[in-house]
Amino acid sequence: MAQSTLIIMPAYNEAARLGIVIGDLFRAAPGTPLLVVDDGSRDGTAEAARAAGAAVVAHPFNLGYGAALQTGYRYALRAGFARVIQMDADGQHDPGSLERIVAALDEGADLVLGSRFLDLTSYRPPLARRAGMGLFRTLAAILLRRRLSDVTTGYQGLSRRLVDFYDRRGIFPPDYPDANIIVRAVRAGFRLSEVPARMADNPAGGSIHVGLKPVAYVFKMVFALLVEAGRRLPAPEARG
Amino acid sequence: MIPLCVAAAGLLLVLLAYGLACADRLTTGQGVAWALIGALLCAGGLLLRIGFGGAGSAAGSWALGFAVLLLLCAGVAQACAISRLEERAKRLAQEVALLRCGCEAERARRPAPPEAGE
Repeated sequence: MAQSTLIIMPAYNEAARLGIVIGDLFRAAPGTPLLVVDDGSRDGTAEAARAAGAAVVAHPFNLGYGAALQTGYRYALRAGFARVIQMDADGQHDPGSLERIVAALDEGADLVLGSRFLDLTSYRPPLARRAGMGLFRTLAAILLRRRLSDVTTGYQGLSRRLVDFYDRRGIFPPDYPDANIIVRAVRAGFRLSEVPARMADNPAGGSIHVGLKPVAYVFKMVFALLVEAGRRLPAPEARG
Repeated sequence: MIPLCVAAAGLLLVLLAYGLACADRLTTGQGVAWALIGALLCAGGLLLRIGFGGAGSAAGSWALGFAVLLLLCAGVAQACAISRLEERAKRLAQEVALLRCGCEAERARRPAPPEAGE
């Protein structure tokens, strides 16, 4: 994979699995620069990532998933990377799907979604999560007048142009960037593409959506999507 | 007429909180607080209009509606109002992290300084 691609992996208390996840990634994409953004972990995640060969940016305290991605984007911009691929640190995202995402970026897409539902996957989320995904998918389809198979995937590829857009003040949500930021990018004129991506069941069964969080999350995301309908967006930079 | 005016003023307050939150002029706490006050005014005005006594199930329906309205307002304010202060604090923490990463990389590139006495 080209050196101009940076893989960003936000991580929070993932020390136990991170070495294996990074090892799998380097086997699938040897030599690809990897940045682990340690979001204030207390279990030695940063040390585990360094030991596995990744570059590490460590937040001084927990800032949230979106902020970790934001930090990664800023790192990519400053280091001059042409594109970014973001994937989770828990091993759910199969590195074997990286090539497809890079190919779609090479074909001119600004945002490539690694879809868990396009084909070749056995991923079956629980019923409640499926319902939430369906709701966001429907709202996104109404706002974009286009059906997408997976608007909540964290496995994404981004062009530098889109990363630059996300880095502007007030564009990228620092808590949960999800269907809302995808809608925002497409409405701002960025080209979107979906490719199939394999998704493993969460090896340890953990998720950031636990307890009452999913209720608040769905509630907030629905409003965030409704707000998108009325939002005026700055135009993206012209293509180079 | 007065209760309806109160309700309308409450609704306006909710919309104002929403607008200011979207424009990044309120913190999250302020956004939620103003939206809740607006919703309470709106609910109070409407309850005064339909009356507390004898309204029976109608009052119950209104109350349920207002409860939903309150939740909606809180949701709107929360979804929109990422306060500027919160954002600045996060940006600062991110910059610290990036700077530290750069310093560590630089230190790794440089040869280790000689021990004292060498």
